[in-house]
Amino acid sequence: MKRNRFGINLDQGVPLLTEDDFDTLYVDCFNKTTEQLISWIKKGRQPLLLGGQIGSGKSTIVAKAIMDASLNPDITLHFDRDSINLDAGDFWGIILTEFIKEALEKGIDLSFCKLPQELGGYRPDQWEVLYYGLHPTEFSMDTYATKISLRKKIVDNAGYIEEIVNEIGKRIEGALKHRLFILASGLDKFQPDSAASFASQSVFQNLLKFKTLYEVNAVRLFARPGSPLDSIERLFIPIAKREAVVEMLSKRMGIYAKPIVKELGVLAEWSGGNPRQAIRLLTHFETAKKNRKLNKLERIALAIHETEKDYFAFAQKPSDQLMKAIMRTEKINSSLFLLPGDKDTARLALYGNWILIDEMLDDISWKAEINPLVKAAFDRSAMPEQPEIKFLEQYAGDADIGVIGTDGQRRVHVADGGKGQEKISFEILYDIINKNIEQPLPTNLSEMFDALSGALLSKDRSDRIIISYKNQDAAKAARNYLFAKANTYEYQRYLHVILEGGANKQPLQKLEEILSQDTDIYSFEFAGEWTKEQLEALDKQRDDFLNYQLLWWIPYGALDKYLPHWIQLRQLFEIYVLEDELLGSISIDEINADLAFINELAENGEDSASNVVTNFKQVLKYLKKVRKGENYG
Amino acid sequence: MDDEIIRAYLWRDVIRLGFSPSSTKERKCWLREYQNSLRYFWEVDSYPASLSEERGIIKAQINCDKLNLCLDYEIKPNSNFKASFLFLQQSNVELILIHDVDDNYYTFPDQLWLTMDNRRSMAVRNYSQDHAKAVMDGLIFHPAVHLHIASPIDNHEIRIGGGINNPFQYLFQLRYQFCPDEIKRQAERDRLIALFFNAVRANSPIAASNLMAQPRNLRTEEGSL
Repeated sequence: MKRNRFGINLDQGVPLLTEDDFDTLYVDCFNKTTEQLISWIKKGRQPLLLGGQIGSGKSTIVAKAIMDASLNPDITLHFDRDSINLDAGDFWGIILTEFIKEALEKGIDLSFCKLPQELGGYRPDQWEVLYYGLHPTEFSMDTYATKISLRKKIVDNAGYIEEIVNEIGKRIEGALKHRLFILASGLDKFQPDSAASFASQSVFQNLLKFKTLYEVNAVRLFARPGSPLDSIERLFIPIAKREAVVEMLSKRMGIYAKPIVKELGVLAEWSGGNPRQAIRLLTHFETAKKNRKLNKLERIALAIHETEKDYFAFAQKPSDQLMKAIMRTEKINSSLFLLPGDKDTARLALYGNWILIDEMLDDISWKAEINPLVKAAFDRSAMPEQPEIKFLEQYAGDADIGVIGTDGQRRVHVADGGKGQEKISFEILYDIINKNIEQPLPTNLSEMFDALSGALLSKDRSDRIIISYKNQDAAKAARNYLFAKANTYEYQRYLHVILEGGANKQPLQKLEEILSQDTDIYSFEFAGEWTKEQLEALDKQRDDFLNYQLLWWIPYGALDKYLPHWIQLRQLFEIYVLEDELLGSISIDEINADLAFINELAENGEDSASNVVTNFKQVLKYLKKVRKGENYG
Repeated sequence: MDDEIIRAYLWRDVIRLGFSPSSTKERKCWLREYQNSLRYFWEVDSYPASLSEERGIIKAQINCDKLNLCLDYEIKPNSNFKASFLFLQQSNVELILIHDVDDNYYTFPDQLWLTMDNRRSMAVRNYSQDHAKAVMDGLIFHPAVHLHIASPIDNHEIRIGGGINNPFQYLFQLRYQFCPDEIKRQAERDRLIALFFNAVRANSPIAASNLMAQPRNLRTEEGSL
């Protein structure tokens, strides 16, 4: 990703990967963990589990440690870059593919078996053809069919493939003259107790034979006694210290950090020590600053509100009992993560970042806290004692926002639907936060378009936004308007495709096909009845979407069915609800002015101009229709 | 030929070739390129508000959030131009400065004098890099007549040029002045001096996209980046 050298660098908290990323943005939040990982990469011989919660910085730490150790993995396995809802055969397919690739690169003799012939009907020595069959570089009906056919044979012969993989691994180790270093990434994307998670067990076990670094969600660290993972050495990424988060946010703001240093401190407190959550809060805070009507405190409150909506609206909520217990004791018993069938409480709370765990206190318990964003949903009475609220009140006091009431408490003026109100600061936050937990709130259209324009209007950015709508026609008009706006600034190509889910449909295949096409903005409209399996398969592909500008259009009624399955995906997406009434804020005058400009540009012979004009005309037509034929000329 | 005279011709040439879009269409294209370039030149995340046009009056806004400044400007079909600086308080907006150009009033007719003098060709033959540096400093980088905002922004490196009646030059010098990175400012200075020196020698108007391009060779103490 292209980074600004001295200015602002905001994204959805994607992993830092390049030297430029690290030079500009890296803060050593977990130096002990990073040092241990570097030491393991240099000297370790046995497998290692690196566990952390969503957004804790696992991929960044791995990249940093590999860079500092100057030792790249011999094989990297990406288990989250396949469109299929993985079963055991698919896992083996991914491993086999990468093992063959490494063997071919190292010139290893593979004549010990005839796998190319057995799987694909090729000549026994055509390993390269088999590799490209498993890993096609071009997308077509034929290559896709070949890949599916090969995968099916792998599924049917998983035991045999396991033997082959082991033998190839041994031969590679022999050639390398050191332990085969494997990075198994993307395993953190599988929900605990899901079918894919279960299917991955045998793969986990097999890779134990090598020096494998497993990048996993923290949930995976709590292995049941006797399970393949139980005996593996493990490394945990804890909660980042507040000072480190402030430094990280300062780096994100570059030279512009100084004027908002106090605000960064407040945002760090609300991040709960989770780096990605901190960056999302900062991104929303920067967006909120565009609203001149808000005071500083309201901007922070809005940032908290929006972040919480992105991550937790419609999310499956853990039990009140568990959350209150953690709030009271500030720890959690690790045996709670091992309860069979415990989908509603501890494992869910940990996997979904409702709770944030920090360090092991003793053999049976971990230091834990409730994510500050969701505290209000569980126990209102405890809030005044919470540090993030205290920070906010302190901040309001330092900034001299509001007045001290006769009760000695600070009250601040907050615009509420156009009517001013006097409230106590933390009460306002409670009100704002509480609204989010169960359902998303509609945003002001202008705000939405600001944010969407920011996403749409540059080819350099890779943003992902979900737009939920109640009215199909309104969504269509808004879409046309946005695409037209995008082209007003610089000509960009966009592709709008309907993805129909449901039994007997192949939406993920279609998605993969579309993403292989070359365009600037990918817009997908979700239609049909997506199945649970399809939604969860999509969730695992989160990291595949990092480099795309995506707009997903989802009917409002379907959003509450989709979001509970998208724990990973919602980390990358911002969510907006399109309201019919707000559509009216696109003025005809504004559209006419842009239309005139676009028409002028069209004279210059730009390719996309005709699309733009067509879209503008469609918007005009729609607005006239909803205004009952009133002539806006 | 006297250096002062050479620079006077160069001064007018820079304004003519870089800051004088003629038709409404050209003006809007120039301003759109300008708005778009701010985001990259200042390395800020926010996207600029779009332009509006009504009866030939172009209006737009520039947000300089990090200085808590906002600039509303409007350009009329003739040379009339108004730029209002707004300072954003924690909960309200305070108008602190208006740069107003009203061409109904007399100003010194420098172009008229140069036309009567009629020695541009000779001046062009004598243009040097030093002349270009001096003229660009006076127009953009360090206007001789300038304002510092003493409060609430305390940055002596920000010099808001005074007495500028060309709206495009005025906006362009703000682009430079509000850039907070010294290395980038220096690189931009080098780029623009070279760009205008070549354009003036060729007597060729500078396309807005070239004028608003980003500086590439950022020099640090250790060397080029």
